[in-house]
Amino acid sequence: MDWAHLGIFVVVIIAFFLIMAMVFIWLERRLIGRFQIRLGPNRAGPFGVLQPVADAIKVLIKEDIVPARGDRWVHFLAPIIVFTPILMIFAVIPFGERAILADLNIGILYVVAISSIGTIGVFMAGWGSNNKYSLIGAMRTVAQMVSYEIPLVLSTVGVVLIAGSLSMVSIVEGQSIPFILLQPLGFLIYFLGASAEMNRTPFDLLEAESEIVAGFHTEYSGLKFAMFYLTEYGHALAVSAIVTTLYLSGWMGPGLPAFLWFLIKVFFVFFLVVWVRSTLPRFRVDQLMGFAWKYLFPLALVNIFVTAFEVLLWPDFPWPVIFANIFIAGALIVLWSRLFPLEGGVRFDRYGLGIAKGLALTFRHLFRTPITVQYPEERLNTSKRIRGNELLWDDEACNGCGACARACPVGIINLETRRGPEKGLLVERLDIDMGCCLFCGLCVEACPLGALFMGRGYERATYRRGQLVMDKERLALAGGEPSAYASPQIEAALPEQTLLVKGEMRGSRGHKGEGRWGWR
Amino acid sequence: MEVEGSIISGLDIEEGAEIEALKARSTEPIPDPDRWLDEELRRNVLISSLDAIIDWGRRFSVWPVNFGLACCAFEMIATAASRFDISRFGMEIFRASPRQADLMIVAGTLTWKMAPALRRIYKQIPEPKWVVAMGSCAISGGPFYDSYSVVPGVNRIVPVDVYVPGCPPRPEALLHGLIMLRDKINRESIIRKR
Repeated sequence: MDWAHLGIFVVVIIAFFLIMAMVFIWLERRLIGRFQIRLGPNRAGPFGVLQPVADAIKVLIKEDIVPARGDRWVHFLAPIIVFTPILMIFAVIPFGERAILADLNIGILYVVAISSIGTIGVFMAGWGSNNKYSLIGAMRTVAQMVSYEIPLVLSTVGVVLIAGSLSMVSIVEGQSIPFILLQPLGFLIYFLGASAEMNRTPFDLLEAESEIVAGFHTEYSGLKFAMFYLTEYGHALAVSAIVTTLYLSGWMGPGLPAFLWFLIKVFFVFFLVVWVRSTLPRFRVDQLMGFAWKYLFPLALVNIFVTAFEVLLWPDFPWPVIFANIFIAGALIVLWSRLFPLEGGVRFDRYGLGIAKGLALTFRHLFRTPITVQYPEERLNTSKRIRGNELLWDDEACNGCGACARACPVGIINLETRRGPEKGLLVERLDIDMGCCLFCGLCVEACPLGALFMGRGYERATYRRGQLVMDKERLALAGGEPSAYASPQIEAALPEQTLLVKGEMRGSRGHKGEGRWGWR
Repeated sequence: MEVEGSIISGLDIEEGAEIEALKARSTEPIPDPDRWLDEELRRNVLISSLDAIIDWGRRFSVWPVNFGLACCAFEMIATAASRFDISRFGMEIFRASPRQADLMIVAGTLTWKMAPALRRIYKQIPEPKWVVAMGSCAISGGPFYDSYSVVPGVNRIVPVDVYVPGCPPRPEALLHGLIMLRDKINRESIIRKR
């Protein structure tokens, strides 16, 4: 190995890591949008691809706050210690045939050893912040990572047994059949354990907002927070790459170039991660620990024994063994869930089907038209009788009787009149403070002459508090469109209400668009 | 101060004193940060191109703090949900920790009891930060403007960048306010004190 190869490859890996982490951030936000039948970021650049760039620019020049009584150096070092090991994992990832920085003969062991270091960084972040939520989050992380590390490592032993090597390249080359078929149970355990390692839903309770604010990075802002954010997606990238290497036969595949196959598989694994995230809620702490120690740990042990027997008896893995393996995996999962219900009596045969249904539902959402209304460009037709965020006043019809001012429950209608030459009263001043108005419509109902209307408009935001006080000129009827509230004579002329723009459901009554895109 | 048969403890008294002090300090509204809005700034090429990049980044990545005070919060939640989808503007990352947020949407009635907490959250947000007052209660106290317990407008406590009237405003109205905020961010400059 010469130095030129090493130098170039390091640069390539860092560039690959940064670009792919950004792509993953964008992809996840778009995908979660689609899983929830909405659009996701689409303003910054075409399809919102520049969204992570904007986030990066903003976060880089954001103020950096160090807690006054925090441990300054520990607080400073923590993001670096979390970030670096993730980058180091990529040293042993084979991107293609011979495209690997260092083909260590202990590849998997190296990955396991390196990725555990991040835990220390997380705990440093919690400790250095001098914040109780940070510390609780960090403690949870340590407990979680230590627990899930064990089934994670044990599940990789199955792969090592079959391949007969710890080197990543040998493992890929040993996969004439992808190991996911030979090791379905091992794959599941690795996937779940890795999800917990990288703190993704349903294992993201170290940053459970409803309980502990933002977990270990509660006190981090600016660039240091950006490091944590980048690490999260870098870790997702690393896990996707490792799963690809261990279980999905790495770069190998028919037709396409090796690197392309590798990328396709990495994206597929990341898609799985996002899919699970957008479907499942998070575990409770006790359930989380129970899940690791009662399910994954014994199942990983059983998996090792089963694999060892199979390697001894049928080293070539004929097809019946593959089917038997899948059957054994299913049987073991059901058996274990019956033996050990999770805390609170949650049993797999009760919730297992629910998980499958939920995953199917979110997957179906991918193919539905998003129901999002792209507000500034598309608008919904509001109700005909909407009480919008404005009042309109007809100068001609008003006789200054002051019924509206008396009817106002808040008392914000300021009316001054004087006696005119012909008409009874002339309105000298009419001020309504829209910043205080309830938009209840009592003034409109009280008006005996129909001189006051609720407007249909709602875009009345201002930069200045004073501009919200409407005077005679700004209340003028010409400045807006009156709604049919308390004035049914104009109702027929107004457009029908719509609840969706692109979906087919039009009108609040009569579900015309019942069917594929309609509401269910 | 021990009162017979009362549950008043020292903590309550301290809290009351803090609130009374805040009340006494905030009799006048803080002026809106709008002095520079109308003025035309002479910029050189370097600063204006730097401004363009920074403002672009800030404008497309305004992360709000994840909190709501009253009924307006539900319209804020509706804005974040599928139909109106605030994420189109890159704003869907509602941060639970104010340290990572840029924007505070004050959605709902602010009581004097809550005011110190709101003020603390505002102070915890790192610069640059913006505030949107959403709904009549946040703007002026709304129907409770003369109440003993309601803050008559959050601009007594924190400076407000955009006022969104409504009771509560529709999700579109809030989005319109947020788009105005984006315009405001776009006009900011690094050499001008906000």
